[in-house]
Amino acid sequence: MSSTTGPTIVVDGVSKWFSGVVAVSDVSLVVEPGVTGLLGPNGAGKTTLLRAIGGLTQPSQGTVTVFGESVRRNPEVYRRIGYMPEHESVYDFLSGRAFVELAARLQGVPDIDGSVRRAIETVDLVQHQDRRLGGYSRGMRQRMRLAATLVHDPPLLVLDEPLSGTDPAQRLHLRDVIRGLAAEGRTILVSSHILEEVDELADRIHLMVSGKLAASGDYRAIRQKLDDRPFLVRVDCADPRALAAGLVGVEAVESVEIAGTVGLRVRSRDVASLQRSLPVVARRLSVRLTRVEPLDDSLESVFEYLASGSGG
Amino acid sequence: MTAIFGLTVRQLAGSRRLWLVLALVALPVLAAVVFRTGESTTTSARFADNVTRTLIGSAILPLVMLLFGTSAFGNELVDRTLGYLALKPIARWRIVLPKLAAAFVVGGIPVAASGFLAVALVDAGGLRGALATGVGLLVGAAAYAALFTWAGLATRHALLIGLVYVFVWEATLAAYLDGIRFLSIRRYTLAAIHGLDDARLATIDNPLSPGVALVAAAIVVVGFTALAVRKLVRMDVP
Repeated sequence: MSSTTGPTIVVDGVSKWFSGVVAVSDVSLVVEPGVTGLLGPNGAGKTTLLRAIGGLTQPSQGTVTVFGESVRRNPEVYRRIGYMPEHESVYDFLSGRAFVELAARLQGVPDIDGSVRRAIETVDLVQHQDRRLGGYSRGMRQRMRLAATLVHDPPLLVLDEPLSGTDPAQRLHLRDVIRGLAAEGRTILVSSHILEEVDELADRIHLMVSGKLAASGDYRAIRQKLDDRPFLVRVDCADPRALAAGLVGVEAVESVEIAGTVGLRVRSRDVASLQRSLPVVARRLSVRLTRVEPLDDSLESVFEYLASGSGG
Repeated sequence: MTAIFGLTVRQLAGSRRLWLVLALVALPVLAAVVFRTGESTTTSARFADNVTRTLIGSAILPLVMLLFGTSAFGNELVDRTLGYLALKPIARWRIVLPKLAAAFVVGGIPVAASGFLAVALVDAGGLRGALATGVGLLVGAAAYAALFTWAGLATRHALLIGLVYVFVWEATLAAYLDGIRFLSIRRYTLAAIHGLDDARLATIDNPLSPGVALVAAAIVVVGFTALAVRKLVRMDVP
C-alpha cells in the first residue's frame, strides 16, 4: 500500500524544546510498513515526536519526511496520512456518523457514504453512529476517532495512545482492527506507555525515555531483556537474619541484603521462582512473613533499565 | 469549505453565548417599540441616530462580533479540536475563510437585522434609512469579524484585547484624538451608513467620507484575513 520503496517515515536528528525545556532530544529513526510501537513513560516526548511527524509542530532542529516529503506546510500529504491525536476532544455536538462524515468531506473522499459506512463498521459502532459524541464512553469515542482517522483509507496511520480509555474487550477489538489494517500493507505507528499494549500490537518498537531514543528494534528481543532484568523485592519478616541465611542457597536469589531489623532486600532475575521459594523457606525456618513488595517494578524503572543499556 | 462553515456555525450558534447575543440585539428593537408607543421629546430621526451610534455602533455590534470572532478559532484552540481541521489536505485559507464567514453570519446578521428593525420601527427615513443601517452594520461586522477572528487565533487574551480596543480605543480615545477615526471600525460603520443614506447620522463631527470608510474596512478585512492565514500556517496546532 505504501507508494514509496524507502521507509514511510524518516526522522532525522529531531529536537524540540519549549522555553528551555527539552521535550525531544536529537531523535533519529525510520518507520517502515507494518506496526511499529513508540513506547515510553508519560512525559518521555512521544506525543511531541508524533506531532512533529504529523506536521502539527515545527521541530526546533532536524527534519521529518513522510513518503519522502516534508509534512509541515504541505497539506496535500495528509491525503496519505491518518493521524489520531492523543487528546480525546471531539465535537461533542456532532453524532458519531457526522464526525466521520466531516473527516471524509475534508479529506475529499469521493464516495462519502460508502467510506463512512465502512469506517464505522470497521470499529463496530454502527448501532451507536447516530448518537451524539458527547454521550459516548471514552472507549467508544476512541473507536469513532479511529474511524474518522481511517475514513480516507490512508497508507500511513499515526495513532497516539489509541487504546487509552478502552475496556479489555474494546482493546482486543481495536488490536485486531489495527493488526488487520497493517496486514493490508499499511504503515502504522502506535504510541503507548503500556508495555503490554505494544506487546499485543507491534513487531518493532522505538523506546523513548526523557526525550531521547533509548532503544530500537524487534519487540521480542527487547522484551527478553526485560524478562532477564534483576528485580529488587522488599521482604519484611520476624527474623530477617535467619531468612537471609535461608535464601542465600536458593537458586532464584541473586543477592540478599538486610535492611533494618525487620526487612530484607532480595535481588532476583527469576521473580516467579522467588515467589514459589520464599514461602517454602520461611515455613521451613518458622519465620513469619509480614510484607513482600517489589521495589522497582514501576514502569519508569523498567524504561530506565532498558535505556541504561543494562539489558544488553 | 461549506463543511467548516457549517461546523463553525453550529459551534457558535450552539453555545450559551447565543442567548446573550439575542438579548443584546433585542435591545434596540425594544427601545424602538418603547419610542413608538410612548411620548418623546426627540424626533424619530435623532432617536434612530442615537440608537445606531451609541447603542448599536459603540456597544452591541463590537461586543457581539468580539464574542463570535474570537470564538471562531478560540473554541477549537481551547477544546484542542483544531487538529481535526489542520490534519486535512486543505489549504489554510480554506480553513480561515469559512470560519470568518461563520462569525460574520452568526454575529453580523442578527445585529444588522436589529438595526434595520429598530430604524424601520421608529420610521426614520423610511425603508432607505433602515436598509442603509442594516447594510452599514454588515460592513462593520465584516471588519470586526476579520479583526477578532485573527485575534482569537493569535493570542489567548483576544477577548481582553478586544474589549480594550472597543471601549478604550474606539469609545474613549476617539473622543480626544480625532485621527483615530481612520483606525476605528466603529467610524467606518457609521460612515458607511451615512454614505448609503445621507439623511442618517448627518450630525457626526469630523465624519469619514464613505469612500474612505469602505476602502479602510476592505483593508481591515483583507489584511486581518491574510494575517490569520499566515498565523495558521506557522503556528503549532495544539
